[in-house]
Amino acid sequence: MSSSEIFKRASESRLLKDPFVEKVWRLIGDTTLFRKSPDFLLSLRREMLRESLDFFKRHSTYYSRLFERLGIDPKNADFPDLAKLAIPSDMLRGDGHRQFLIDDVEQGGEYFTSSGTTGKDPVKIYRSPLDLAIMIKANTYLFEHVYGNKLEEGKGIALFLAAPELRHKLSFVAFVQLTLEYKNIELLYGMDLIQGEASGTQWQKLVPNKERILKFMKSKAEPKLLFTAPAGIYLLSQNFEKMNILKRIVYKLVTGTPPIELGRGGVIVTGGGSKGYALPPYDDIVSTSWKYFTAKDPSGAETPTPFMDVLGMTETLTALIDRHGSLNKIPHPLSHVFLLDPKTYNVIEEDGKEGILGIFNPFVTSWLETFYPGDLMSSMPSTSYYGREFKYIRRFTVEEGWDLQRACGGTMEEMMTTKG
Amino acid sequence: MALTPLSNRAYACIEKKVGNHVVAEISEDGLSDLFSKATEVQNRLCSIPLEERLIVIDKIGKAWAEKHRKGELDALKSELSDSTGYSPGMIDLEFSLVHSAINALSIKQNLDASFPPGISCLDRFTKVGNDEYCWFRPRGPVFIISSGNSLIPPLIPTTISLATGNMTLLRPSLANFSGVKAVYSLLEEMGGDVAELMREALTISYFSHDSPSLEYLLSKSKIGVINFWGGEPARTEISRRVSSNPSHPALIINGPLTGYAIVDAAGADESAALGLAKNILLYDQQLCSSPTEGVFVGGWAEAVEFVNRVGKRLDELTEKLPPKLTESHAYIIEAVRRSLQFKGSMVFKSASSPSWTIALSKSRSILDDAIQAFPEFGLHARRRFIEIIVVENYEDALEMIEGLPKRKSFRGIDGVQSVGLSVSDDVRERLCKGLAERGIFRILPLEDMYMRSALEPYDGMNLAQAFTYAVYRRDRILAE
Repeated sequence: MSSSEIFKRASESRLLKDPFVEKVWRLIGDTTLFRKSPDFLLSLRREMLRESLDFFKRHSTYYSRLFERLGIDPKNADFPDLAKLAIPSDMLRGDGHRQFLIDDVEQGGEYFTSSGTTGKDPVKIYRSPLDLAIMIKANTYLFEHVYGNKLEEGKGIALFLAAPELRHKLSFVAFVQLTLEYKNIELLYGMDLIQGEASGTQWQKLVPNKERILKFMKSKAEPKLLFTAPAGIYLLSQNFEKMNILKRIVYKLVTGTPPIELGRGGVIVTGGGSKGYALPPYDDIVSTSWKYFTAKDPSGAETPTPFMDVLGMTETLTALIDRHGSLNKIPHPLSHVFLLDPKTYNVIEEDGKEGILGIFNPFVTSWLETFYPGDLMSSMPSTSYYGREFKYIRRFTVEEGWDLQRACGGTMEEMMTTKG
Repeated sequence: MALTPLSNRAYACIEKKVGNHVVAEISEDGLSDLFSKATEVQNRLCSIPLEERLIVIDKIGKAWAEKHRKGELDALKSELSDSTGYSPGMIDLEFSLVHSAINALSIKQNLDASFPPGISCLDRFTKVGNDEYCWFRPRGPVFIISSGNSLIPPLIPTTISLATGNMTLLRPSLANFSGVKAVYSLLEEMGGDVAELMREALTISYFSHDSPSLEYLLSKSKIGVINFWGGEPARTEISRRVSSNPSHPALIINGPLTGYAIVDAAGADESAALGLAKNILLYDQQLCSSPTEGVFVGGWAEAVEFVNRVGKRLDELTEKLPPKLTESHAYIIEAVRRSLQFKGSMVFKSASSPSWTIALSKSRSILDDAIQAFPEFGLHARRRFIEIIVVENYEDALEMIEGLPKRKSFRGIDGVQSVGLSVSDDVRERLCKGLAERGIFRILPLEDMYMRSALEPYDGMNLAQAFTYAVYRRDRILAE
């Protein structure tokens, strides 16, 4: 589906007749939210929490029973209740999401899956047309707020170091393409997905599409937006780092780079985790990249290329986005981000403590989107609309293999553990 | 520190790194040297009356108890707590149980129960009929692969093997190696010919799964019995190798098993609650007898009341035996608790830390559904966790037990070893018959299903007989 089809279908949604969904739709298009006070927004989110639970109680037998079992009354619900309601993202692997969808979930949407780099069944999430429309609007406005400017319609060019096929699999890719489509900004995919077969086994791999990458490099359009996994920008920079002088001269003659000029408003947007690569710290990736990517601020003055990092996951409709050097990760004003104590799983109220990231998106209409993906983060006070910013610390590691053996006899330990 | 063998003589060894450990394992030449004297050592051991052998065994147990009392095992306690993951309190409790496992009286009772002609049949030809006699001789050398995590399980077969006169080679696990070695090292502190001979008969060495020495032991050595305690994939691999051994040793496998609890409304009293709580906590439920699932035959409200009582007891016991939790374990247990709750179980849990969990489910296991999303929460990873399924009748309970080995949440388990009962008297007999028909090895009171009587067989078989063979003698002519 294109973004215009999504908006068309969303506008026909029966759910828009529900007062809560109508309110969501109105609020999601309200860019003044980014200028409201943290207290105002907190109060708004509390109100939406209650209304959202009431909506799910009315539209889902499952949630109605669950709230009863957990002793949660939507009318009096408050943020500590999210600690009880948040599900571990692992529950969304395979067909796990299906049980959470409302009884009258609207068809005709799209499925997104996680990349599956953990070796388990990927997380698979259904997004109705209305939720997709909400996703586009919410993420676009959040992106523009962190970026510092509106993306002007039809202006600029974007390169995504991903393959176009991933648009229908990974939500981050979908969000970028749909947002750029919505803004009528040209998007080039810098990779191709190659499939093959060897010894009866299917394989697929991503290979760079040099033609499209070169088109982006040579384009005079401004701004130039480069979207990539951190590994992509790291490998590109490493490629330049390792060139000898002769190769660098030849490359410069052919492509005019390095440096790659991103022009006015140029930005590099990373997201999607390490993808299995052992990467240096993000700060190092940024400082190395600055040698090979240049940008200008909107007035035309040279500036270190801005980096934005998107913390998104398949199971969240909106992301947390930061701007390197000036803003830590910040959620959409309506998204309630909380940290759970790793021992008690109660909500941590104070800033400065490490906790398990939990997200509640009251604007999602197909399921009660409150979950914890297994990331450890900390929060700090902020002068932004949210009043808090968040810093990613690390992913929780769940040990594989058995640390311990059955007391009476397990099996020979080297055969049963994946540890060294 | 390298894990070096315990042996009376210095056999040739090969040093290697296994995981984080440096291990010195006896080489093929060393093993060949060791076994070359097997028959002679066994004959000499058997020429000493059993009573004298048992005295030495008893002394080991007593010396251990004394060291424990004096606090001389504290460093070992800490080491084993680190290597096994059990809390120091649990290791301390296990240390206190060593004497009851290595104890002349209990071994004698076990042998008495194992050999119908009486224990004299281990010393000499003993009358079994009119001019008919049997003498049970060591079938060894016996090689025991005891891969469990705790101390007591390897001590039982090893001590029985020694008591029945076998040259015994024990391969403990990496986790319990130091503990097992420390117990039998006490033989070195004892004087006398019998202790000396027992030292000669007992060797402890680690062998990695890809070790040429292990390959030699299993498929080439002149060995009489191989006793493997464990599951797949090692079990199949070991069986394959043993089948090619030209000496055709007997292979005795004690596969992985688990325990089960059956409680009904009449039996759901304070004693049952305490007993179940204790069994859930001891050894972090890693014994083959530990109840890892249960059924409550009765109404939901009665079950809730019973589980509340168990929870209260668990909280009390947790203070004495606090768990050793990793970040990973805490994370996964919380995730599973939520999953169970969301799927319909009522979850009872420790108030402070993710120490214990009881999931109460109606009619069927919800864990089976939850495990799909959390494959890492297999039986081996579950600690202080039990799902209690509320059923309407006892037949449902029997069906649950029968179907257990096929279920995803019990993957890797052969079946149910022990069933702990706390039920009304009028159904006990019927239930026991039903359990016997379903291949259960032990039926016990729920309160102490972790306890072993000296008279008990091991997983349905008689170890002492398995480590011996009978020499039959008849002095009269039968043919007319």
